[in-house]
Amino acid sequence: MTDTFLTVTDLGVRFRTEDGPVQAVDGLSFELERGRTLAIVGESGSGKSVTSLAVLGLHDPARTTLTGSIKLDGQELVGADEGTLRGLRGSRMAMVFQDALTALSPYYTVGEQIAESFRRHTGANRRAAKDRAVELLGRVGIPSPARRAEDYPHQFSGGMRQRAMIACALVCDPELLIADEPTTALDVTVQAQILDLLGDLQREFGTAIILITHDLGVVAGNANDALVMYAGRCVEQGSVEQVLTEPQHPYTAGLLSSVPRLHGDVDVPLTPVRGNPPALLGGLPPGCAFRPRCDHAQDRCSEDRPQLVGVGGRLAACHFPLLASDPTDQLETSR
Amino acid sequence: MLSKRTARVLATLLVAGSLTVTAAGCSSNSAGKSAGSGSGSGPGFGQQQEAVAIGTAAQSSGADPAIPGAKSGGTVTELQRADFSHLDPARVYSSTNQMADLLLTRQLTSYQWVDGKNTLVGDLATDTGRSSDGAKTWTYTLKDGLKYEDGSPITAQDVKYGIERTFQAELSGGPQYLQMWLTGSSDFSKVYPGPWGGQDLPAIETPDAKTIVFHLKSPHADFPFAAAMQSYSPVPKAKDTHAAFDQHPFSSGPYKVLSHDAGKSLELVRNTYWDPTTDPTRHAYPDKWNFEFGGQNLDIDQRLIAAKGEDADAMAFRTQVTPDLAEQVMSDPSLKSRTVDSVNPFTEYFSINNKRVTDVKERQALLMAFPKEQVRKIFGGPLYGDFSTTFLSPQVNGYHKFDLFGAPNTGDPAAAKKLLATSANPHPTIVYAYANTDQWQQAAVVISNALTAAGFNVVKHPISDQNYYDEMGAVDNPFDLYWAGWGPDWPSPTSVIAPIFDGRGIAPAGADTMLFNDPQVNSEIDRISAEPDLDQQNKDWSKLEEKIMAEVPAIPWVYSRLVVMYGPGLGGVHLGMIGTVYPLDVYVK
Amino acid sequence: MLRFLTRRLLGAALILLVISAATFLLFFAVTPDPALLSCGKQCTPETLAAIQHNLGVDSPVPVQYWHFLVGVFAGRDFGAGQHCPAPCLGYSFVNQQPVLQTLLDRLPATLSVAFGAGALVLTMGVGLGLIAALRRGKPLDKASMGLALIGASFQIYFFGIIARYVLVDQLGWLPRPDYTPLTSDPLQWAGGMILPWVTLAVVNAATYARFTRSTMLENLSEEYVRAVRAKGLSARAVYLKHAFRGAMTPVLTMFGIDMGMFLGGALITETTFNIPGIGRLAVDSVAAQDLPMMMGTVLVASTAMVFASIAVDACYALIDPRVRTS
Repeated sequence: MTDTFLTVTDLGVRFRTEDGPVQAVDGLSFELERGRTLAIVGESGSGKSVTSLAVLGLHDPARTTLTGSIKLDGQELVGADEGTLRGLRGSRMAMVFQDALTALSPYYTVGEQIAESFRRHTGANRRAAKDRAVELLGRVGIPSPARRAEDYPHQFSGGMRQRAMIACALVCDPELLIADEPTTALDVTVQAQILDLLGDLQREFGTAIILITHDLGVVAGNANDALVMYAGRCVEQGSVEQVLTEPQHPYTAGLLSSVPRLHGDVDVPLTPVRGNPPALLGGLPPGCAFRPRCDHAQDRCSEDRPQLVGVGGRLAACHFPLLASDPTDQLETSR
Repeated sequence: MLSKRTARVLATLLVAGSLTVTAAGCSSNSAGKSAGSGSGSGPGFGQQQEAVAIGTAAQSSGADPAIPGAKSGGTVTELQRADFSHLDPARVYSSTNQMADLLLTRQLTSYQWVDGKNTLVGDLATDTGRSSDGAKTWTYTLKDGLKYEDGSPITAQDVKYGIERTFQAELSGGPQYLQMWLTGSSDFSKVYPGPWGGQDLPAIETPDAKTIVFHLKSPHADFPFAAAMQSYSPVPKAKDTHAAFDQHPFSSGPYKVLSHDAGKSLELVRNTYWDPTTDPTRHAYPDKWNFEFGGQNLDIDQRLIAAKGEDADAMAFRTQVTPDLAEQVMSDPSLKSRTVDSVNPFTEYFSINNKRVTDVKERQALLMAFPKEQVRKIFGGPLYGDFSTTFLSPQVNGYHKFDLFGAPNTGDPAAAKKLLATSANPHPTIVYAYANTDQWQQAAVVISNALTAAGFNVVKHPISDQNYYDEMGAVDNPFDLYWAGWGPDWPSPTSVIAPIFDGRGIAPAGADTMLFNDPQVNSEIDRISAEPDLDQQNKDWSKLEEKIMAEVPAIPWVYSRLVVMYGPGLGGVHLGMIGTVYPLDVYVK
Repeated sequence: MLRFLTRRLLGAALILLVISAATFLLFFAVTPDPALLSCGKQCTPETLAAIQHNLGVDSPVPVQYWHFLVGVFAGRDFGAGQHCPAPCLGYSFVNQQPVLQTLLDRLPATLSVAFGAGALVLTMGVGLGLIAALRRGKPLDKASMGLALIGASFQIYFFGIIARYVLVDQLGWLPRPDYTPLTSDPLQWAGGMILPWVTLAVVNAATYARFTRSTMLENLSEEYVRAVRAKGLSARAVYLKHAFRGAMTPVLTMFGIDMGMFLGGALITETTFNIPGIGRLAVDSVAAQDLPMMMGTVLVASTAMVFASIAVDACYALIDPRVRTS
């Protein structure tokens, strides 16, 4: 019996654009338990941010169609009305944005911005909300928080701003925290501090965290599970250990080889994945979406879309997983 | 009686085309017939009798004969674009300003309007003046019972003081006839600087409170007309507030200033001490006059057309019906019936530069070829004015109809060509100068085509609107043909022929825009000006006009028309001697 | 703040100096001798000289300008023996009224037009823009933008004349546009101002509507607005408290400039509706070639512009803490 808090099943996100429909996320399924962290990894445009927005219900309803199911603690979010979603946003589920400089309003003090969420969800008065904001600022490690609460975001340093942003997200003790590239805009030492902070808070409150990143280096040590997305689909999904140490999908492997390793051989050059992700506009061609960039691709890859199947204890969507010696085995299992 | 200032303003309006009205059925083949066709009652000009007669002492006494159906009371609203620039009589010259002072001041003489006929009568004085010494000495006797707004009597000394004030250099802007006639100098302020320094003007004698005697340096038979100018009004020395007088003059007329908000409004109420039985020229029927300034001409027209509420009793002195609305007004009998539509004393002509175009044949050819009608059409056709062949308007004494050349209004290029063939140069070059406005540009094309057809080489020379008068009026201007106009200061030919044809008066922006300078004409002007008998003088001017016309100094074009709306609640609205709608006979129905 | 103000005020003084000098020179460059206008028909050189002396136009133009400046700071004496105490803007060439007093007399009308129209422009324009932004792509958006476009394509003169003709002259629904001092009769004051206000608002609000819409849309796509939504705040708070707050700065900048122009006298509006304000005074004095009055109106207009721009900068500091605290 697991304490599954978030269940996403066969999630599809489809945009209507001027040039035609775009299937930004297709057939995505995952589960997340309280106190655990799921890293969603992928290049920009892979659908990872769209997924997080879909969970929060922040997509533009006029242009977007959601299919499948998103259940937060058993409550269906797909098709839920805006009022319900609004009640959940900021209280039970919250988000930390990539760049706190743009994600915090320049016109209000940091304290006000933290407090407004608290007041909205708890109905607390101004005084209480302000105290809560100061408390949260202290908890995320801002020195002399009472004074700094009166400051505007531009008066904070980058790392402090990100902490303030996290305080903003945590003010109502959310059970689910989506952190969208929370450290990308920060320098390395601050990155580590922020990630440690998230870890500490998770341990303290048992928060479930979705960590969205393009950086596999961030995933290691900061997440329990990893989900690799490519062109709107999950291509590999498993425990961080499995995915990072023995990637089955050539794309995961490609991502890994583009990450510098502390203990790796300095002489081995970093090899970024060649080519560019496919355009999603107008639909994908049949077969494997990664095929044009894949060194292992064969004829079959251009005809037959690989399904997500169990390979070596995790799921991968590839006709020719890297660790499988015999391709026919794969064929058997996929049937 | 238009001052040069007014002439300039009016001319500027003409140049800007603001006076243009669209053609609406209004026959004008005869100036005598069509004048006054709108109001149905214009002064009787074009007939044998004079436009304005000199009245008798009997006509000068008693009250102004009542207008049938008129009654006292009510408030009249007058609408005009700009405020009166001056109320101080010493500074009043433009016809618009004169309108205000007609209500606020009285003069030695003034015009009585009875049933469409204007007569000059004694106003403050018992008659129009008694001359002696060959029209060099003029004596007036004041009536009894004349009072200012505070009830104090109007004396001969006050009349003298009022005229003395006009010498004061600070009080610029007024006419200068009496000043020059009394001193014999155009630099009259040198001879007499005005009364503010305590000096007395010996040329005016006031033997008692009722008698005033003027000693002129030269004969002036039309002195009674000059004495009717508002500038020569009585001012009691004790009430002379100098510069402040301009905003709030001390009234000798039927009304006094209640309030004056410069540029916004002026309210006149009755001067209760004014005695109508002493005033043969002012009915003063309304109890109150409200002047509103600032409306655009189009708005004023629209208000007068709509005539809502108080606007039923509203009128305008000289806001010409705008071309946009002229057709509507002229085609709607109910609107047309409350329109003043008369020829005013203003004449317009195309000056020929007589210094440059020296061959009379060539000038005559210009006249012959000139497309009067086509040009008038651009400015609105018949409503703009009646075609003229003379310089004196039918509204001016001494006018007689004559046409020396019989040129058709559309121009006769063949006849012009023939004339040119007999001249020194059959293809002379003519520089036509005009104000650079839409209408004058169109007119330039029409004129250029017509003259070219007659064999002229035409060079069109546009001048910026604002500089038109200065460039055209330069004594050495490099142009041959240009539009000009003249408004006389009183309905006597002396105030037309003498200023515009006396070559010794040629000056920058002067009246003689033709730069016409004929020694024979000059001496004839001197002779006629000195003629003590007014009737004889008028006859002589008429003869001289024909003689001058034979020289073709200019091409007469039109006698201007004034077309102005008034509210349905008013009666007695007609064109006055000053060329604007006259306020003194207006009543609220 | 004090240094900011001092610097700006010094700059303002310099600008006014330059503008007044330019106006002065330009006037004499394009206008014939103003003394000729009051010289009458038989204008002799002597009379002309006397008038020139009285008007103070008998010295070279730079000297005249110097006299003007001296008059402003120390007062001056005119030919007729009048003393004009500082700040002296001279006397009208046309009716000899003191310019300063005339300006002060005309100012209330201009203020009435400016503030009333300003308030209406802002509410109408911003209101329409907000609605359009919130209903982007929906019929309401298209309707309000269409409306704005129609408004913008009107000329004040055209719209004003038609509106008055129909609403006042024909239907009698509105009182005739007119200026009554607020202090003498507030109701009549407002009644007479309705048409000028509405006209100015209709013609100008369009720009504000479109501008508000575009800055609102820009701000709505800002990351921080999404972050606010992620907090679960109501749509109202998202739009009004956050997106609008950001959109306000550019709109207010534009408004400040427009107010500066209104305060300098809405030329066409005042002329069209016969409102005796600075704008109409300017038009009249240009037409009458009344230099001192013209100078006065130009100074009022440029002062209004300069101070409006200072006010805009001050507003910036109020609205945007980034300006205030750095």
